[in-house]
Amino acid sequence: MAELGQAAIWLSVFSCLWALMMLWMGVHHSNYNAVISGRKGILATFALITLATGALIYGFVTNDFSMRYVVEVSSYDQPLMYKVTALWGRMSGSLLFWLWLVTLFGALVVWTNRRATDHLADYALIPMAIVQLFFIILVTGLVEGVYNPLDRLPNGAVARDGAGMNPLLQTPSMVFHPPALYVGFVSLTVPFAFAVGALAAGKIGSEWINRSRRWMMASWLVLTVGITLGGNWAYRELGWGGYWAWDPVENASFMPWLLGTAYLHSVMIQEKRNMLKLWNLILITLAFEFTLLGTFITRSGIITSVHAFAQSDIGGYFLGFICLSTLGVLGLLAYRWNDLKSPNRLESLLSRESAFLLNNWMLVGLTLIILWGTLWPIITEQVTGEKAAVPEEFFNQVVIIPGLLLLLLTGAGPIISWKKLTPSNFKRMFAKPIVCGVIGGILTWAYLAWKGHTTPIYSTLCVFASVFVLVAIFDEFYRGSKLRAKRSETSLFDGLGQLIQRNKRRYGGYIVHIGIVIVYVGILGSKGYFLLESKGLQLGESMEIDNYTLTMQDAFQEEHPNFSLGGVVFAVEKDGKSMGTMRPARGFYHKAGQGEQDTIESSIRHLGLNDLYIALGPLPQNVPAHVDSGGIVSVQVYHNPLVNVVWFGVAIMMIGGLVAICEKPVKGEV
Amino acid sequence: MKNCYIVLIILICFSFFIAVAAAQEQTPTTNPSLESNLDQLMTSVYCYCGCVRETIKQCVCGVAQGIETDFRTRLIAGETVQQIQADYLASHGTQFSALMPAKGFNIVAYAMPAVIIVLLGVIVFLVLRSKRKAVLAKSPVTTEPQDSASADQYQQIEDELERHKRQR
Repeated sequence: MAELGQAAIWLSVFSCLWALMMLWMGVHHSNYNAVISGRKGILATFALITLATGALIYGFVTNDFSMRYVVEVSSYDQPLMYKVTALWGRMSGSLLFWLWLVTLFGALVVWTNRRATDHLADYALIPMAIVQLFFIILVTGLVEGVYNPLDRLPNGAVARDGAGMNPLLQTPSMVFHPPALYVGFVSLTVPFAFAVGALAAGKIGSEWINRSRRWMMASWLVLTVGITLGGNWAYRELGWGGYWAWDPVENASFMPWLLGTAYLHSVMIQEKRNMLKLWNLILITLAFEFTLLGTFITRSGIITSVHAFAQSDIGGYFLGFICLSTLGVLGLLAYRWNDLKSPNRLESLLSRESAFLLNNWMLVGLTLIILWGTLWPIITEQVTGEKAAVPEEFFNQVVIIPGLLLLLLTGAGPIISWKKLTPSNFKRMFAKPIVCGVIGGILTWAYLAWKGHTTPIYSTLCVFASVFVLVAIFDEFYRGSKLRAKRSETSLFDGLGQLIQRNKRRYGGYIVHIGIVIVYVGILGSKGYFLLESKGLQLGESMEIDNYTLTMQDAFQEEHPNFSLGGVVFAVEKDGKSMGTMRPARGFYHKAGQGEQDTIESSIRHLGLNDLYIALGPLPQNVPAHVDSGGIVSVQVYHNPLVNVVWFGVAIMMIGGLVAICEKPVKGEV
Repeated sequence: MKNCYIVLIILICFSFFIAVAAAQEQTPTTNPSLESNLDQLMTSVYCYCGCVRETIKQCVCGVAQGIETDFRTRLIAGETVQQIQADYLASHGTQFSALMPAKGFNIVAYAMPAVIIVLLGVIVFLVLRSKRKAVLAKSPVTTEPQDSASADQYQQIEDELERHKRQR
């Protein structure tokens, strides 16, 4: 099978080149047969890469330890689920998976546009084929720093067993998190390709936006899920009680998300007012390039990260491709410069268009700030000769103001009118949210002052902005539903249903905004007010955090196919009342690839919106014997307020995103 | 219905008020001087065990435990937080500092975000102003503004009703 897979990869070089050539010829000479041949080339590339990916998975499932990649990331006793997910366990397999997704999306573009009468999708397939070709070349193993994932061991050698995958990756979160991120990243290629195709074809109206809208929204949604799953994985598996630390890999996934969010807003101005054509093309290009830049930052090894499981020397190729593709887009922009001018102008600085521009300003600003912080260690190394670490606190400080402004715009954007905000509009739409926001902020501040707490100004501002946004959005829903109910003589609830049904994109977006507010509140609580206590405990001893008392009652040991689990049992009490037990542990993996041998298996108790979180320090493999003989167990306990609000907020965002994506495409859209 | 709406607003206000208040409700633990110095030290440097960017307080590895014991012993012996911190960074490198004081070259790191936001703001402002100027020069009589988002909704419903009547 491995040889078949290798042959498929090599054949895909030719099918991809064929597709590229035929599509180019077809669209330039309006040769329909050449276009059809090019489309078939795209489909053939997808089929060949699927075969190669299947061959690698087959190698995992059948424990083919003559294959180099299988030896490095799998083992006999690795559960079947993790044998399959080992596909993205290290660099070569990740690249093959990325390539498979690009070819899959290429095939989907061909399929969904099979009846399109214009050549826009065919133009878009050309940049997609170029991206495919770049990844195919990486996967063939021709370039230094990465080998073909279907390569066999030299001299016909067969290993007795594999090294096994990094234990940190052998968790359910890691089954879904990397694919979600990859799908989010790779699907951004489609709107980018449509943008480039539109530039090449000279069709710079809204058609390319309509055609790629669902792709963009799906990409944004999946990226949101991927980022959240990554945070959830870090929270459960790394044992430091947090879900976001501004780690370079986290930042690398967050930056394209921010740019994608900016794009989703600014395209509305192009659709409504036929403005910002150039800006939208730049934004989608930036979003795409940042997916590659993120890969360059995290895979090149220039910056260390807790998430970097697949470092190699391929960073240079990514950097080269980023430069070339950016130059290509800049060239096309220069070529179409005159067509990019908009006939419409802004009528007022106080309008929805301006609000969207401000939103773009903050989102792009945040992206650049995060990029700056991420690259700061490299800058200091170049300037001072010493590589500085950028603490989480730095990012927390520098993103507060743009973050709060963005939160305010989340509420102001939907209620400010297009073209011009009049005083009557301001009074009617803004008065209630502002008054409610002020009341919420003052109440919080006064209550905390009464309780003797000092409240940072950003907490109060965040409460003000959150209440402002929620009241503004609920007001929008209420007004719209009431109007619908009145006109169709039905109930308010039916009116709400009709309202959402009639404009899913708009109201789905508002639901996303509600989710974002909830996430902000969760972040405020969990990041701003968590408690941490550390202590070394012997059997029978207790420690306290907030109102909770934790008593170490017992120890346990469990055997699993490829690891053993050793931990302790804590009896949890709140104000003297029993709350059950918690079982934090350490996992001891028999085979762990190049990763760590033991892992932290934290125990998390959900207490409504808050979490009680316990992680253990290193322990000998036989934990019960260690504990029974009076050994000390190092314990860290976190009380994380409102942390579950973050996950809930993301779920609301997902619901809103799904509602918005359900909007029927306009004519010609896919 | 109006009452429901007011109740909803009050509920929103209070839910936030209670949620944030609950988050801040915790009583901070009172530590004697040694413990607070130790806490300050353990949060000011990263562990060098191989974990990435976890302070000695956050890291649950054996190395962190050893460092904590060492810090405690040295504090009891009378060394200051600054001395121990400087020794740690001298032995392991400045990349293990979890603090980034706005001093020396670090000022550039802290200043740049503000510069980025201001520069982008200037660009947005100039674009907005130039576009506004252009439209004023082109047509002094502006079109009637759409009064509110609700006006959009009214228009949309009117269109649908019209379409519905025609279909009948």
